[in-house]
Amino acid sequence: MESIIFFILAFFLLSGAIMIVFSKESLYSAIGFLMVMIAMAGMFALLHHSFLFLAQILVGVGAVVVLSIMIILSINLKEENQPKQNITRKNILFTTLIIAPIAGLLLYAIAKAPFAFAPIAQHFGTIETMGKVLFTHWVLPFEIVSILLLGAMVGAIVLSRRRLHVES
Amino acid sequence: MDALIIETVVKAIVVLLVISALAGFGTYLERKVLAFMQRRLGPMHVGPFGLLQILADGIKLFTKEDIVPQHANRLIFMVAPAITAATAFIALAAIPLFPEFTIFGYTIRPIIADLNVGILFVLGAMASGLYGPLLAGMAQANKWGIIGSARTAILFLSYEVVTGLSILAPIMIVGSLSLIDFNNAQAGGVSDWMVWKQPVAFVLFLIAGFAETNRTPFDLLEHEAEVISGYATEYSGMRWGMFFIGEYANMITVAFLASLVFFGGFNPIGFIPGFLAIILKVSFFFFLMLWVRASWPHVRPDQLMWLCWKVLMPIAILNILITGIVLL
Repeated sequence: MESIIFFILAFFLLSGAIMIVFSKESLYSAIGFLMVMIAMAGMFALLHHSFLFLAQILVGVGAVVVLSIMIILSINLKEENQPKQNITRKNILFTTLIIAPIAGLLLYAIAKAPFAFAPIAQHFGTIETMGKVLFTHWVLPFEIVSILLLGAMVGAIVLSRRRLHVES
Repeated sequence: MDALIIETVVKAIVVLLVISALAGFGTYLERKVLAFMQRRLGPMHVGPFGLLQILADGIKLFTKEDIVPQHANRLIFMVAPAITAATAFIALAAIPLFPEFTIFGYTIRPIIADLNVGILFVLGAMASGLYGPLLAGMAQANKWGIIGSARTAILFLSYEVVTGLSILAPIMIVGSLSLIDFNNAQAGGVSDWMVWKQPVAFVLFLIAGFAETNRTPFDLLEHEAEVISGYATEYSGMRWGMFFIGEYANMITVAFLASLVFFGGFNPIGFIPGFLAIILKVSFFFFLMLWVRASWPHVRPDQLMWLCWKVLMPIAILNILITGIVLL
């Protein structure tokens, strides 16, 4: 049963990822992104990690993809307005060279991973355990990330305000 | 394991059919209630009290020609209404509809999926519902549709924040995200209801719920006078009907959430048994939505954003802060 669900999710995840890269129309790419996000949420749910599942649904599906679709909507992306990018042999070679180290690292990590997993603990992935771990063991990185987000927010507000000022 | 799957499938089909039927009945109720509030009679001619109007409308929707505009993005245009309806029903999956009951010696728990994070799941699934109007508006080659979908994205993204923050304070008091725990925490009768402890959170949740279900003070997505029908301009027949079913299912979901979180859920009140109590509460909230529609005009888009970010969100954060200090 679990493996059937896993393969269905994996199918949607991979086809969504392929759709992002290969579709000419940006709206289809956004829908591919949406498929990837939902399939990832399903993967988390399959791993019994209810907190990450919900975070993925609420943040990934509910906000991130919406904003990217919003951008496509507001700048009116059309196929004929996009630069022509042909797939030439030179492009393929160059991309392969860039991707090779990352792919090697991934392969190495997968090969090294222990594939005998212990059964999950009783309260694995619930919000209580996540909260306890975040606010005890990882409290410093957590706070640093929140300061980073605050900085990004203030920066975005300042940038958008400045442009309004110039126009008026 | 197999019994569980069969039971879940049966429950899902029952909920799907009953809520779809209720959505049809909801349109009739809406027309009647609005009519009586405006000193009209509403649907009168088809059947007794106009009751067969639902059937007539259904036949009309099913047999109407399904038009896809020439320059529309065919695939997305056709899929978008299904997204609205599907997410509305997925949100209902985690809601405990009634107390446990026994049929033929077999105990049934009327909840499709008993998640320990039920309340966030419902909010998340309802929030994903915005893809229906958003993609529908973008796929049809129509400027009203584009305006409608831009409004959808802004409205849903903003009011999601208020819904989440307003419901956080009750979550802090109960200490659980399971809707069944919420229900059990208010088992001690009317004085135990969450609304007495968190009146501010309730008002905020209700306002944000009206916005999330696209009801009248905030129904800017399909405001007739400004954007024709917004995202639904080019839709006809059953595709348009699916948007409608999704909207009514969302109304029922919000009514269930409000009664489960703030008004004691399906606990019996005095001599009223639990299942009747929750039906009465949900009907009251449904009626409240129609009542507000008859009483209030629409808001402007800038007023909508002002209300969300400068009024509701600060109040919600203050409410959480005060709740936290009191709990400590």
